Amino acid sequence: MPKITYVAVDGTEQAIEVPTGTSVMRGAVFNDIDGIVAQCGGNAQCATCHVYVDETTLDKLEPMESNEDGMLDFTACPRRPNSRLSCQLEVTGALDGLIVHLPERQN
Amino acid sequence: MTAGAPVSSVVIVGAGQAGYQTAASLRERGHAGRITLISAEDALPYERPPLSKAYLKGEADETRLWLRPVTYYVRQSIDLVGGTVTGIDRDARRVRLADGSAYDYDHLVLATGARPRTLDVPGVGLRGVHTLRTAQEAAALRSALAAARHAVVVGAGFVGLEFAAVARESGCEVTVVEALDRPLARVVSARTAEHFTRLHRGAGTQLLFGQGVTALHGNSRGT
Ligand SMILES: Cc1cc2nc3c(=O)[nH]c(=O)nc-3n(C[C@H](O)[C@H](O)[C@H](O)COP(=O)(O)OP(=O)(O)OC[C@H]3O[C@@H](n4cnc5c(N)ncnc54)[C@H](O)[C@@H]3O)c2cc1C
Ligand code: FES
Repeated sequence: MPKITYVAVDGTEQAIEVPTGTSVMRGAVFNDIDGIVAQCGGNAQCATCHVYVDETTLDKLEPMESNEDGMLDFTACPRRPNSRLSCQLEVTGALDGLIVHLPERQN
Repeated sequence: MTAGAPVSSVVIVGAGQAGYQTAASLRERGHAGRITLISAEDALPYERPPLSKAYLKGEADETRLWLRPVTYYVRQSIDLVGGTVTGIDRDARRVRLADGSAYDYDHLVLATGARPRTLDVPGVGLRGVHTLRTAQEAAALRSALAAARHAVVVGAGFVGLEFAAVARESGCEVTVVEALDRPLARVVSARTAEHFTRLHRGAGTQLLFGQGVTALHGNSRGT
């Protein structure tokens, strides 16, 4: 299973094996990682699953769709070039080694 | 909660999306008192939207529906209680459950949600007649669908149409009966409704509008 590392604001890292076919958001929620709220359940409608993708692993991701892009304007913490909605990141083999940084707040 | 206020206890009745989120937000915003989340359903708080979509299609199991794993509630000291609240004593600030247990509260949140309106017609109790609201009902429908050849859906709202699409995809002959003159009448415009009508008819689903159901007939096999 692809391994994804979630880095909390205080720098704590949790590396989790996440099943393919789910999302980076679900990987966090099902493993009880704080920092991802995911209020809309993964529909790109709440922006409370915002993550900053580690610059070194950005190339593992597909480009975002327009709905994710639009919703990213409503994140609680500032949007940056490496901002993504973790619910829109489908876990595939290509994501193995992905590192995401959790923002300070989600709402 | 204002700083310095005495730590108060909150009882939340109903552990759907609203009840769960109330508990989670209280903790997130620093509520330190007791939180008791009471659910009439024998399940961890879960999402309903997949019940008429991925779950019904067999693409997701129960655990995928959970809003959070059980460890979350332990870690956040949110007490999950299974049971149905049958009484509220406002003077004593206490709720009573069907099993006789009771919980005291400073604040009471009623998040008891909704339930499907059942039909007041002969035959509603027959085998093979389902409603869709809970995970349990969805599980029953999912297994019924595996063997079904014909399905009739009463009501062309979101849930009814989603079910119709899944049933059609699984090879059923599907008829949707709607009392109003178009689908999704409460939520979308006539034009959008027309689009969905075409979509479902194109998939081979029969849609009947302006038709009320007056009785359900069947035999013991539910056919
Ligand atoms: C099949 C289906 C698909 C859906 N799809 C979508 C969708 O795609 N998008 C969308 O936005 N919405 C969708 N919805 C609607 C959404 O699920 C509801 O709006 C949401 O569940 C409402 O949450 P709630 O917490 O207010 O109430 P509920 O989910 O109804 O939860 C209330 C809970 O309280 C419990 N309860 C009631 N009385 C008592 C009592 N006396 N004691 C203890 N417990 C009690 C009930 O058993 C229930 O578990 C769908 C709903 C269904 C059924
Ligand atoms: S979970 Fe709501 S936008 Fe991702």
